[in-house]
Amino acid sequence: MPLTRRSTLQALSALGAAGLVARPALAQSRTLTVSTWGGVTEEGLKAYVQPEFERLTGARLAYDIGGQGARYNKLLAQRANPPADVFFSADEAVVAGHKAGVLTTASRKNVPNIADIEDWALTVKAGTTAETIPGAPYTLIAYVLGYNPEKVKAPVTSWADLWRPEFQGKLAFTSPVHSVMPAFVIMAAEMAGGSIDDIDPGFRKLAELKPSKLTVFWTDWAPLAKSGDVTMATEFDYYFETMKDQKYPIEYVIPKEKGIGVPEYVSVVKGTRNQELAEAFLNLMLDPKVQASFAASTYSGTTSRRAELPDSVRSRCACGARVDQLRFFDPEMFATRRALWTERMNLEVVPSWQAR
Amino acid sequence: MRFLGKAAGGLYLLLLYLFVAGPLLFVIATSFNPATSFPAPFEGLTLSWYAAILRRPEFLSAAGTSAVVAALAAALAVVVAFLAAYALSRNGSSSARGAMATLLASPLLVPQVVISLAILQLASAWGVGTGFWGLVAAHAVYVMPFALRLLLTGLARFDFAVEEASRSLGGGWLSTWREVTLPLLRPSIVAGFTFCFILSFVNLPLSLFLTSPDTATLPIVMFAYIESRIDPMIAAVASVIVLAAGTATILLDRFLHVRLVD
Amino acid sequence: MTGARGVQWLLLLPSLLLLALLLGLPLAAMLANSLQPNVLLSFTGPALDNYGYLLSRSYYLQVILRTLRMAAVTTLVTIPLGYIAAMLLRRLSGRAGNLAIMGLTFPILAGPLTVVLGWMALLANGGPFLGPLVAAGLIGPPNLLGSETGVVISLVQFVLPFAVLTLYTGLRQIQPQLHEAARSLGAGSLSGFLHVTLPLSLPSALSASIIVFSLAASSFISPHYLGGAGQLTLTTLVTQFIMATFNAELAAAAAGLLLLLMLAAVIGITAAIGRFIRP
Repeated sequence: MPLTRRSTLQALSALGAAGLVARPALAQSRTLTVSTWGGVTEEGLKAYVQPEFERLTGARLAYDIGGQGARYNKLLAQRANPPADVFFSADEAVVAGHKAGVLTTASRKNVPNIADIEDWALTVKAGTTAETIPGAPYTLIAYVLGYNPEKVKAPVTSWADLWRPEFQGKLAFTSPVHSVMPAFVIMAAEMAGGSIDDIDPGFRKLAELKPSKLTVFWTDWAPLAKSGDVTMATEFDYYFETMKDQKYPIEYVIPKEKGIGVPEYVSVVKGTRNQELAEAFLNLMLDPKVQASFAASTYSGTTSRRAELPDSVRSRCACGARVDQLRFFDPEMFATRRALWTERMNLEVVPSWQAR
Repeated sequence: MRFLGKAAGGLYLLLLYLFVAGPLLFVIATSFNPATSFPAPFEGLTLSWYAAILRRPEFLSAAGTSAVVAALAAALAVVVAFLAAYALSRNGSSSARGAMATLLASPLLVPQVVISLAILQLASAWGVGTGFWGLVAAHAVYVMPFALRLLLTGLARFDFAVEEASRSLGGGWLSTWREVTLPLLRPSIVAGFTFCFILSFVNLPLSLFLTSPDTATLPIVMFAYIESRIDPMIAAVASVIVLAAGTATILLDRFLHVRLVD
Repeated sequence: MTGARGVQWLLLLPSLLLLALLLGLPLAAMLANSLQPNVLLSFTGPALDNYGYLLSRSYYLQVILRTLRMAAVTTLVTIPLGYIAAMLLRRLSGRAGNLAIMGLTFPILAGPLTVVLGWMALLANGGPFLGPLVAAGLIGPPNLLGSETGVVISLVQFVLPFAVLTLYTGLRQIQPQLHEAARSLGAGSLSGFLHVTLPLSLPSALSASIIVFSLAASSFISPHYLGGAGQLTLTTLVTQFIMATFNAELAAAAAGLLLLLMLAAVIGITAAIGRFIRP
């Protein structure tokens, strides 16, 4: 057969077609897509998890990065053809994800490291059976209270200090859309003589604050801490530690009423074609060595009983004795009340915050 | 008097440029500051934040993705908008022109976050992925109204008799366009492309739900980074973009005689 | 004649197709979704309850008003500022004009995220710009962050280059001979401007106004970072509904309201300026 241009093209396109047909199958079995936060978490995964994961499984990791809300919406919109295999989120989104049918359980057999995880980290009950787990709680972070030690002289010890007159108009406070907002509604209700079943006093109490900045991420208010516009802030402990390393004028305390403990999970996306790879990934996230490396680089706490930390790190993250100073809220309760409470925050509390 | 007028004009432009560029110049200045907090007093000079970019390859590849998406979206938008603007200006009555122009400008009227999510929902309901071309097309639709506006303005002062003249001299449709129409409309076309490219390059909300690990754009990567880190590396990225854009503008002018405005 | 009509539709086809596929269909789906019950409101859909809910809460009415007010103020400030700049710049040679416009556009290219960081520092009471003034007692703490004024300042900065680019392109297309003609007929420079340049530049002023208004009303990053959850606009409100409570239905209704208002505003602006444009 003479080699004409046309026949060459035909041969090439046949080859190409074969490649196209074969590639998706190969790629699907060899790439695990991780839906996670950019920045600190992505960096930690690339440094401490990816090399080990690739060595153990021979598969590749790809990252779909973004805020938890955006990534969760991607799961909701693409149930038939999920955009990721594993999903990073706080515990409440794991509850919601199982209820909405976008997350699925993992088999205990394939995640043996779950046996070493502290009981307090297992906040998600749905999907927990003798054979299955709803996801892997790989770290613990604590929402606490910080202040500028150069400007604040009277000691800060309690959530009640948020209402001290000197901080009004100088306060970076939890946005109504922050993941821990329901905890503040409950705690404020308790301070004002109410309870979780008598929640109205909580909204009224929160409305008395005069925040100057409503925050979701520490980066929302860090420049204001530097400029002195903010002298008190509510934030996660590991971000306060990062700020101290970056020389922001900040100190923090765990309030005497207890800080808010939030376990963060990685779970398997329903409809994944890589269930076993995903489970291997979960198991690796619970590995004591991986957890220790994560803690050392990000100050987020370990959840594995076998994780060993040097004292310099242990004293700066949510683990060990610090866990006793934390209060764990039921993520199921958050998930069922969030929509209504966010709405009440916007309609009843934010208007009085605006009138500062 | 004349001199005073010129001086006042110069001062006005200086203040205006300072206002427009001030925040960015401030941020870029911090990219040479070794201090890790933001904003911090100067503690010396360093290029370490620029070196830090090299250790974050995802920033470089995202910048490449954004440039390609923006160029394709802008090109698509300008071509499509030109055809529409031409048809409207040449034949439409002025009320039809107004109505069509408003219709074609409608992408500006809807919050992009919602459209982004709606496109994703529809595409997955039909079992098609959005992918790279979905992202490009979505960007093109969103930036098209800006090109259309500029082209309609340009065509409003365009004398279609020139085309008749060209055709009466034996020129065909295509050659009339190439030799007469397009050169006369060049300013609007070039400005339209510039506009569209910039708007696509920096767009965040439209991309929020349409990117995947392979098509993450620079605003998506920067937004995700800025949620957990705030350091002068972001400033260094901005200053590299400015440097690249400035170099490209000058080189295009010098060697290809292509300008942002004409 | 029918041939010309056919050609006209053919030329409109690509834009209409693109619009129908990537805007019309998603928009229709969105509007259909806005009639459905959700995590917050239970009713039997399809019904207008979501719209009724948003319009009956003074908080949401304030959000709507704030959105329109911020976009309107931004437009009213930007257009005169940009017009004067474009008038001054149009006398420059091609190359100088190119560089001048590049100088205006690079702050946008660097991305609103970076620029907004700069504003967070410059607008802070204790920041490097206002801090010394406040400390010296020259001004009281202006509290611009988290205020509408702060957002408008950054919006004007963001849209100004687009206004200048549009107006500059329009002004350069006015034939210089017309000025010469006006002058040779004895018109002074002010009356030449009022009778020749201004009327001829109105179409680009209209374009610039609509572009600026749309960009301001639909902007996300400035209101998100500088206004925050205390100064919601329709775009940041819609984003809250989607991202925080996954309430796509209520978000769709809020977006539907924004669509209606923007449509009304664009028609209003066109009518207001269009009256002065000679056919």
